[in-house]
Amino acid sequence: MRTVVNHVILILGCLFLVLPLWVAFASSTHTPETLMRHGLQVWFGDQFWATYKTVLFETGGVTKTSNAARMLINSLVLGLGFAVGKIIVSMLAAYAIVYFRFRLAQPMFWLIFLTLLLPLEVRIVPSYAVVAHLGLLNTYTGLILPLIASATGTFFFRQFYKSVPDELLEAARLDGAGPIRFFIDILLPLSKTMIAAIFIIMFVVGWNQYLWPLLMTTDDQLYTIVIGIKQAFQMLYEGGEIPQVQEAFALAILAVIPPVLVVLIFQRWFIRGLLESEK
Amino acid sequence: MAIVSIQNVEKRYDNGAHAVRGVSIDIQDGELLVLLGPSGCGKSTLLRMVAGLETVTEGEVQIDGKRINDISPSERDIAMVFQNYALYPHMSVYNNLAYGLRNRGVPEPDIERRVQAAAKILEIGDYLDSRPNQLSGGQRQRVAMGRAIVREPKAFLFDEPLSNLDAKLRVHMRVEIKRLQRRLGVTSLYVTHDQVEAMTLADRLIVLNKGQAEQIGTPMELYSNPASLFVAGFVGTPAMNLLPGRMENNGISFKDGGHLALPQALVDKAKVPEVTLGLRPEHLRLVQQKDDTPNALNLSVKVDLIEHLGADTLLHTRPEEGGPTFTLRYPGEAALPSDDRLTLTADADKLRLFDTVSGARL
Ligand SMILES: Nc1ncnc2c1ncn2[C@@H]1O[C@H](COP(=O)(O)OP(=O)(O)O)[C@@H](O)[C@H]1O
Ligand SMILES: [Mg+2]
Repeated sequence: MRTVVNHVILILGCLFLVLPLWVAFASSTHTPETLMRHGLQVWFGDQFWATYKTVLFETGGVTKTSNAARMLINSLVLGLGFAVGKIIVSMLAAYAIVYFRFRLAQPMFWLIFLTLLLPLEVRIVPSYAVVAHLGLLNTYTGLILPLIASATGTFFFRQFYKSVPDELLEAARLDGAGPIRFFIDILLPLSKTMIAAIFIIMFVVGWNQYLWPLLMTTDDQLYTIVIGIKQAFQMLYEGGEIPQVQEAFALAILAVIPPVLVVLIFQRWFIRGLLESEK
Repeated sequence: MAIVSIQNVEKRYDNGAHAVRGVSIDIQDGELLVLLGPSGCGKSTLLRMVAGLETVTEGEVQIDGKRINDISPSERDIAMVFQNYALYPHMSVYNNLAYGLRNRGVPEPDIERRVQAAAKILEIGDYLDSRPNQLSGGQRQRVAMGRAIVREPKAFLFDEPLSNLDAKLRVHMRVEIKRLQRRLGVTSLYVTHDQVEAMTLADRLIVLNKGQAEQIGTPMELYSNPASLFVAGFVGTPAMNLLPGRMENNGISFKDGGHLALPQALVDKAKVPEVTLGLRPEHLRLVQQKDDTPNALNLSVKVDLIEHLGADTLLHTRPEEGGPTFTLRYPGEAALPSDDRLTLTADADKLRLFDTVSGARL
């Protein structure tokens, strides 16, 4: 009886989360006329190829001057750059804090930690000014670099490094490994699961960045897919002809796929790592 | 092969803890020296200073006469076995052994040869491809030793390498370590708080108490002639009978009551009033009637508790008319007199007398 109740709740929860996506996907395979006349669809139409081909490769349509393929690439660059950048920066910062004795190490850590209180939204104007002065508007560098410092990441890696037994460092020192060798040969492989976990989170966060790219990019060629969706919906209500609702849906579906894939792929790796790992 | 020399070494930690206070000792070529002492007495600190993992506050550490205080751990040519083994969890056993050699730029064929040789000695050849977490405690222990052996270092350092193993395996590995060290003839410093382990392994022992060396000597020297109350109480199970009292009437009046006449030689040595008498349990004998030879002691006691250890029997006694309790050990399972009143005797030359206040041997 309990399991039945549990399953019912589980199924309801899944439906609640999946149904909107399903409706969007099903609707994206219909003509705009069908959607106008009959509303949202719950089953496939025959316009799958047509819609997705237009959205992915043809400039114009809902996005006017860019296409979804281009925007997906931009998002991918942003998501990867954001996640990888954050991981590299926070691993190195945590490495310095945990393993090197230098003055003010502890205050520095708390300083980094305090920046948690200052998310991008709070410091967006100065950040924008700095990037603009550096001439980095409408560049990938300008898009990614100001975002990659990470107090959260530094904190997680710091906690992880602290849990690595000191004897491992000492054994490595006796084995002739210097600080760089120790980092690459010992700490990096041990951090695999941690890296996978942070990569999942950070990639999704990076992919979903909205405010910063919106401000940073005035050039359509640099629009990310999240910005594209926003543009598309603006277009829907401005346009005079029948709104290309199916294309907007397709765009939304396309925007969801890569983060989902990342979670699926890395989650497996992550769990396997957890099962195998032992410090 | 090397002589490791520790000279007046002091260690003060940044937080002010004075962990090692002026210890000096030369570890001879091929010798296995055991550092014995209770937990927190500074054993690991001393070992780690030899390894180069802690700085030396004062004094010198030398290898073959060369001062190594300021030389980095990897250049000291010393290998260490850690209590928790400290194997690299993400590397195969082979790579665990090979890692130190690779960092030193040993050519790959030589690495292969040395790893295989070490694996053969330690019988871990079958696990070279396994990860440490797939191995049992004993196997990990061997791998940790293998990592030390392949380096062919000047000296081995062991920091309580057996304390994570269960009792049976510990005894087994103890023998293996001893055999291996003999066979390789590498100068070794071995830290333990387990005095049985220390006694069985050591060529020589150094007993550390609160950062100071209490006594240095062979296991038997320490056992027969402890230099202080601390060593007397620490070395040997069951522990030495240590009975505090005052010197009176050519003998000792015990704190708990009772008087024991002492041989004149001992009385002459006892120039302080407060003394402690030390007597090993196996040096007490049960007799039917008093021993009248001039150097014998005679004590009338009652049996309090009997412990059967199999090969030996331990007898805890209580004196007849007030006085200290004794532990007595005798081989086998001797039948006790029915009225549980016993006479104990001991040879006077087995008695040890200590200054209760300073702890020094008299
Ligand atoms: N890193 C350290 N910082 C400060 N004090 C320490 C440190 N390591 C050990 N100590 C202190 O030094 C003393 C000796 O410790 P240790 O050498 O580890 O003892 P043992 O190995 O004999 O148990 C202890 O009192 C301990 O608290
Ligand atoms: Mg210790």
